[in-house]
Amino acid sequence: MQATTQPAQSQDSIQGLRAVADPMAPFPEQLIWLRRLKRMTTKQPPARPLRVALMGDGTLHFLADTLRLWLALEGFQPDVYTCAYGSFRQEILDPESAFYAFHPDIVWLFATERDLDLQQVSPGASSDRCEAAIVGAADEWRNCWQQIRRRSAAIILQNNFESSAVRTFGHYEAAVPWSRSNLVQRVNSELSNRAAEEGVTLFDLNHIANTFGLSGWREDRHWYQSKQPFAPNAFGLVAFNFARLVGSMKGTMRKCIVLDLDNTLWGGVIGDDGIDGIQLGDGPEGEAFIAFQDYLKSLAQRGILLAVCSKNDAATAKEPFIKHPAMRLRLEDISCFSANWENKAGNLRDIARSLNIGLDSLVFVDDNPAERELVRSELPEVAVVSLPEDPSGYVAALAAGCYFETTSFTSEDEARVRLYNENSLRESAMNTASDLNSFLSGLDMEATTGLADSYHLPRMAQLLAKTNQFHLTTTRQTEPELLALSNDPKSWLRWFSLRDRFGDHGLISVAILRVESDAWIIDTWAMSCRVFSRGMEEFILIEMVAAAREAGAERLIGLYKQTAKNAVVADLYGRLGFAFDGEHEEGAHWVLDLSSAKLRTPFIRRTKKGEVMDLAVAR
Amino acid sequence: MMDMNSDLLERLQTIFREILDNDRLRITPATTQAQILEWDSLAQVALVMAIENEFQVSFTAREASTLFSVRAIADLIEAKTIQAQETANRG
Repeated sequence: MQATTQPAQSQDSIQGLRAVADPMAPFPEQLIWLRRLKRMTTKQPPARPLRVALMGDGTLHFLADTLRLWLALEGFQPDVYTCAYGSFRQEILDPESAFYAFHPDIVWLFATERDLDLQQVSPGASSDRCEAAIVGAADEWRNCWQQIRRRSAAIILQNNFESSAVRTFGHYEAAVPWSRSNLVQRVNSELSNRAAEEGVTLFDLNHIANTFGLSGWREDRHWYQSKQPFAPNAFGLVAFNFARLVGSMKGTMRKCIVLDLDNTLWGGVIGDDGIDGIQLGDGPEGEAFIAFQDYLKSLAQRGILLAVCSKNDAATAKEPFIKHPAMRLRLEDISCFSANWENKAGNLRDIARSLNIGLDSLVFVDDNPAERELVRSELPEVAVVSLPEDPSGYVAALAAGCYFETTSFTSEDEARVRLYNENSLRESAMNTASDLNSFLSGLDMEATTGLADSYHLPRMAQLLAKTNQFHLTTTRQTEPELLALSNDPKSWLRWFSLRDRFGDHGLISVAILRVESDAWIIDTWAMSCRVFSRGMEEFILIEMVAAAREAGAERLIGLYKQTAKNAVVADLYGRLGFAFDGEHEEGAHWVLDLSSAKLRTPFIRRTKKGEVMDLAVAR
Repeated sequence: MMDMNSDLLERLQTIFREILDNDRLRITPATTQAQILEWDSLAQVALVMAIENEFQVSFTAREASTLFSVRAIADLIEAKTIQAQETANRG
C-alpha cells in the first residue's frame, strides 16, 4: 500500500487522508490519522451510519480506535462498541446487557488463538478425545452465534484462529493428533463448516497473521503489558481488512479492473517494440508480467470484469491479445477495450457507462504515475493502485487493496461476466472532456533542449531507431550520420528532454531541420510516446520557429511520411496550425507561415541548464 | 540527566501533543504523569508505543512500568540509543 506519489489534497479531507493512510503503518500513526479525522473542519461527504460491536478478550480499546479510522475511510460513519474487559460471554448471555442495548448492525466476535481453550486434551490424548475437544470448541462458538441471533438481527463476523506460535514437536507437530498446531487447524476447519451452515461470515484472521508475519504478530510483550490481543502494529491491517469486507457486504465492492497495457500487462511499448520486442514470457520481467496476467485471469474467472484503457492505436493494442503466444489474457477476457489517444479520465467514464456500472466500481491499474495522478484528481471515486516500479510486485500491490471481498459466490457471478461482455459497446466514442489544463499545470513540467554532443549522440540515435509512432518520417540516422549533421551549417539538430514532478523522462525527442534561405524543412521529428499530448509538441515547435525566424526564414515546412505505425501523427502538423500543401515524393508537405504563427505552451517551463552544458561541449 | 537535549524534548513534545490530543500541551523535563490530566493509564500505553516507534527503541515490561515522567522517558531513550550505537560499533 506504500504510495509512490502523494496526491496534492490536504489531509483535512477524507479524500486526502485516504491517500496517505497506510494499513501497514505502525499503530501510533493509525492513532494520529484518527485524530486528524476527528478534527476535520471542512464539510465531509455524507457517510452511512454503521454500528459495530467488537466482542472479545483483552484490551480492545485501541483496536476499536483503528477500526473507527478505517471504517470512516471506507465511507461509513462508525459507532464502535467494545464489551467490558473480560466479559464478552456474559454480555452475550445477558439480554439486559449494554451490548444488546447498543443495537449493533454488526457483531464481530474477536477471538484469537489465545482464547482457544483446549485444556481437556491432555498429552497423549486419544484421537476420540481430540475430536471431541475440537467439536466442542466449534460448538461453543456456534452457541454464541445462536444466543446473539435470538436477540439481535445483526450480521455476525467470527474470527478463525491464527497458527500457534510455538511447536512443541517442531516439524513433527502435524503428525501428533493432540499437538496444539494440529488442534488449531482442525478447529478452524470445523468453524468454517458451522459458519457456512449458520450464515455467519468468517473473518480470516489466520491469513492476515500469516501475511503480516507470525513472529511480528505475536509480539507477546504487548499482551503481558497491556493485554493487546496481538501486535498493535498489525491493528491497521486487521481494521482495513474488516472495513473492506464490511464495505463489500454493504455494496461498495469493486466490479471491474481497468488496465493499461504497455509496461502494465507486458514490458515495453507495443507501438515501438512490436510484438516480438515486448517483454512477456521468458526472462525475469516477462515472467512477472505472466504472473500478473494469471492473477487477473483468476479474478476474471470469479466474475471480476477486466477492461483496457491504453494510449495506443486500437489495432496495435489488440495485436498481442490475438497473436502473442505467451499472453494469458485474450480479447474475450476483456469486457471493454478502449485504445485511443484521449485523456484517460474521459475514457474511464466511457468504460463505466458502456458496462453500465458506477465509477466507484472501477479499479485503475497503470504503471505511469502521471496517469494515476490524473485519475486520482479527476475521478476520486475510482480506486487507483499504486504499482511499484518492478512488475514482480504488481500482484501483491493489487491484492493488498482488498478490492474484491465477497461473502458469496454464485453461478450468476460467472454468468455476469459473459453478459457484460456482450453488452459492452467496444468501439464507443471516447471524447468526454475533462479538466485537462489543470492536470497539465499541476505536472510542473520543465523542458531542456541542446545540441548534439558526445553524451547525447548515442541517445539521439537510439530514440530515432526505436520510435515508430511519433516519428513523422521514420528516418533512422545513425550516430556517425548525426555527428556529421551536427557539424553541417545547413542543418539544425536538437534534442529535448522533459521532467515533471514525478521524475525525469530524460531525452524524449529529436528534431532535425534542413536550413534553406527562405524555408526550414522539418526532415526528422521523433518523440517518445510517454509524453504525447502534454504541450511538448508546441514547446518543440516554438524552438524551431524561433531559430528559423532568427535566421531570416519565412516558412517552416513539415514532412509526413505515412507508415504502418505512425498514424497517430498523420494530422500533427494540422493540429499545430500548418496548412496542407500536397503530397510530394518525400511525403506530405505542411507549411507554416512564420510571420503569422502564434504558439503557446503555458504548462512547460524552459530551463537553460542543458544548453549551457552543451555549448561548452559541442563543436 | 543534567541538561536535556532540546531536539529530544521537541520530539517528545510532538508525540505527547498528538497522542494526548492536546495542541497546546507544553512539557518540560520535570513534567510528571500526575500533572497532566490526559496522561491516564490508557494514554500511557499509546505513549510508550509512539515513543518506541519514533525513536526505534523497544522497552521491556519492567522499563515501561517506570516511565511516568518526561525525565525518566528521556533518560531511558538516551541510554537505549547509546546502547544501540555501541552494539552497532561492535558489529
